[in-house]
Amino acid sequence: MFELTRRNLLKFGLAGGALLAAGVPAKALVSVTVTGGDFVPLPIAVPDFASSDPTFGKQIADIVRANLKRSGLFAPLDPAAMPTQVGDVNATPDFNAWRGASVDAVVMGQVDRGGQIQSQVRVWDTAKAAQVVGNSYNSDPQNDRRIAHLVSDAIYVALTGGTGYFDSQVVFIAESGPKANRVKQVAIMDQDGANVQVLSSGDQLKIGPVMSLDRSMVAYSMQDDSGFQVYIGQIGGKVHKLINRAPESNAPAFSPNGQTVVFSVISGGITNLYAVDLGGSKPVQLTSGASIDTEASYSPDGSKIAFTSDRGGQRQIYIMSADGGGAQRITYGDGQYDTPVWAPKGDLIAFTRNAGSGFQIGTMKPDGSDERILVDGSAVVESPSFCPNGRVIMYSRDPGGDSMSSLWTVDIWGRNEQQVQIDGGIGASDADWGSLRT
Amino acid sequence: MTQMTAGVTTSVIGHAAILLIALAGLSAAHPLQPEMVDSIAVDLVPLADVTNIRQGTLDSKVVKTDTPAVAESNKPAQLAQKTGNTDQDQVKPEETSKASPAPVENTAPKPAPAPTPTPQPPVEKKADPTPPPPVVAPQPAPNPVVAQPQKEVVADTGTAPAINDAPIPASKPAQLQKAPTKAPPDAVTDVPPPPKKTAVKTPLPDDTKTKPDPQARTADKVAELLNEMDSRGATTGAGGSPTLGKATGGAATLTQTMLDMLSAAMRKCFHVQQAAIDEGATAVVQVHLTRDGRVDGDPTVVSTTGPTTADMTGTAAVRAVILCGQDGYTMLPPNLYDGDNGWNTVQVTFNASDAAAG
Repeated sequence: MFELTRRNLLKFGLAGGALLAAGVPAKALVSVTVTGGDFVPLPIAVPDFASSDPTFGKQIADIVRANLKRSGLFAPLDPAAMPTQVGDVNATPDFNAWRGASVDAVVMGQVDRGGQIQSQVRVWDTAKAAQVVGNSYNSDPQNDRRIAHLVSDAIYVALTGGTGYFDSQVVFIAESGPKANRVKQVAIMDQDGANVQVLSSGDQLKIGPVMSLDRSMVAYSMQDDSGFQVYIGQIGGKVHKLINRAPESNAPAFSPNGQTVVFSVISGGITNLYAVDLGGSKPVQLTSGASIDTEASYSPDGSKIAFTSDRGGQRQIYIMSADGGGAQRITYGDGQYDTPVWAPKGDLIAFTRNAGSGFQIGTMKPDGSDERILVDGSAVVESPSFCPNGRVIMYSRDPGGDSMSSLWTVDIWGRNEQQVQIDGGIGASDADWGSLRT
Repeated sequence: MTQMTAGVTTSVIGHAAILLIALAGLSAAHPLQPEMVDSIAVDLVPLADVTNIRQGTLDSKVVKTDTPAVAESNKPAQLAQKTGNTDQDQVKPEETSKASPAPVENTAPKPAPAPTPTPQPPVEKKADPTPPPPVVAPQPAPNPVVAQPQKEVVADTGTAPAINDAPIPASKPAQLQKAPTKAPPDAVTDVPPPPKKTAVKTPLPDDTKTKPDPQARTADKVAELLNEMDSRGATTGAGGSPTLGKATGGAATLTQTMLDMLSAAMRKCFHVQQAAIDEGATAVVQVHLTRDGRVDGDPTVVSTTGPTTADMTGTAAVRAVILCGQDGYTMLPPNLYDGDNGWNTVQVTFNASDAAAG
């Protein structure tokens, strides 16, 4: 009979304590640290997608391969070198064969046209011999390229982390005609340069188009009888003048919630920033002073505005609160800075810099530190714009003379600078990269 | 028939005769003597006896000894004092008419000679090696007791796995080097220590006789002190006190060099996206290895950090371990595979940010 005496409790308590103390001896695992990784574009294989229409399957796979290659983060395998030409979503790939072709990931896809365009994709890791992601996607039947962009984004997210940017569109100024009589129209295209649609007529000169974050509205400056004025409207619909009685206005920018537009008003040599609520209230003056304050850009959280000002003598970038006031200069390097644009995550500001010897595109942190020059061109390079995940910047390049302007992309590490191949080979400038369409 | 009978008879007689002669003759032949071959005596000697590396015995006491710190000392560095007379030029040796005697090779003094029954003429004594002239310092060839440096190796390679979590510092060779100087050359305390000098070399200059006396005395005292230090318990050959450490002791953990080699091997395959490098993403991966260094099963991701590239870094880390391990991590020594501290399970921390780039 176990008596609940103090002595017994002590005995068992001590015994239990001793057991606990003896316990499991700590294991000293062999521990190794590896510091520093190499950036190497990920070798990936995307065989043609299986489809009832093999041409369609190949076309979709071609778009995916081009997207991945253009990003600079992947090295897609040449289709001729693949062990399997057409993918099979439902079978496990032969990992040894793919490893022999030196690829780290394999994408098996299947795509079909029906009421909607529907696709299934599996991404496999050949080293682990396991599936990374498997999913199905739908897109509207009008734009059959879009399914390829959706699939590209899925692959990008699965293998590089973060979010993708392939399923997005860019508003820009499409240029055509001789230099003396250049026709400039507002247009929209897919981020890979395909699917160009003109949004406006070519009658009047237009510059600086911007798209709202929800991709429903577009705003730009158009030259009419009184000079440049800001026009705004639904994408694909009619545009109207933003402000009825401004002397001259330009450089519009949407706030992240799409409710407010900030723009510049030019009056007798002085330019100031104004903001107006799209609900219809009066515009509010944000900056005052006898200088040129223009090219405003909202931060992603809507609380700050970055803009160009020459109040200090030369054009520099300032940051102030979205209600106006408290403007702080952030650029102190050589030369003049303008066209500030805030990155979608708020961690960077891209700008154009003119240091006398030429134009440059660069990024810096919002406090002005860590300035990096990404593009240093003999031609005029300007007007940077971030892609939806903030890793790629699109900008304009004007070689001068009679040559057309063109749009180029570079990633925020300065790598992989390349021209955007626009359908029809038309000239292009002043791009604004919209957000992800999903 | 008669002709046949004659032939048969002759044949039989002939055969019988040959047989008889053979029988009689062959029995007188020499018996075949097998050759006696000299056999070589073979002894099976355990390695321990040859190298005198000896493991500790069970239940021996672990004695903490201070390893001499080579570089870490709190004493401020001091300028070395000049030794000898460096201010004045040394006296140029004069040419004398007397030729200096040639160095004499001394053999070991014979052990006490057995008393010879017949009285030898005194002449024989003179045939003994002449005592060397006083100019040359007598260098008795190393005593048999002393002249076996290999036996003086400190048997401390079996020490202290029990107290050792950290990899063993690579100071063993230094410790081994120290041993010979500490072995007491037993009889001769006056003569400066190194018995390793061969007799072919010119003998030492006459230190013992020409050194100023106080220095000689200090040197002697130091030598005595050194000789009287307590032994660290090392055994030389058979016998002696038990050594430190466990009988099953060996180097319990991988040395830092091997860990570095393993880390370098895996780094070659660690490919990450630039975003991961910028973010300084990390991933901790645990992997089981087979005895020949190959990856056993799937490495598991224990944890990852990084705002947007954590998962991707984890995948890249697993890929690095697998791809660079396809031919096996052969730099890992098989004898350290087993046990809780063995490399049958390895935890690898991958850090995408390049420390060197800062």
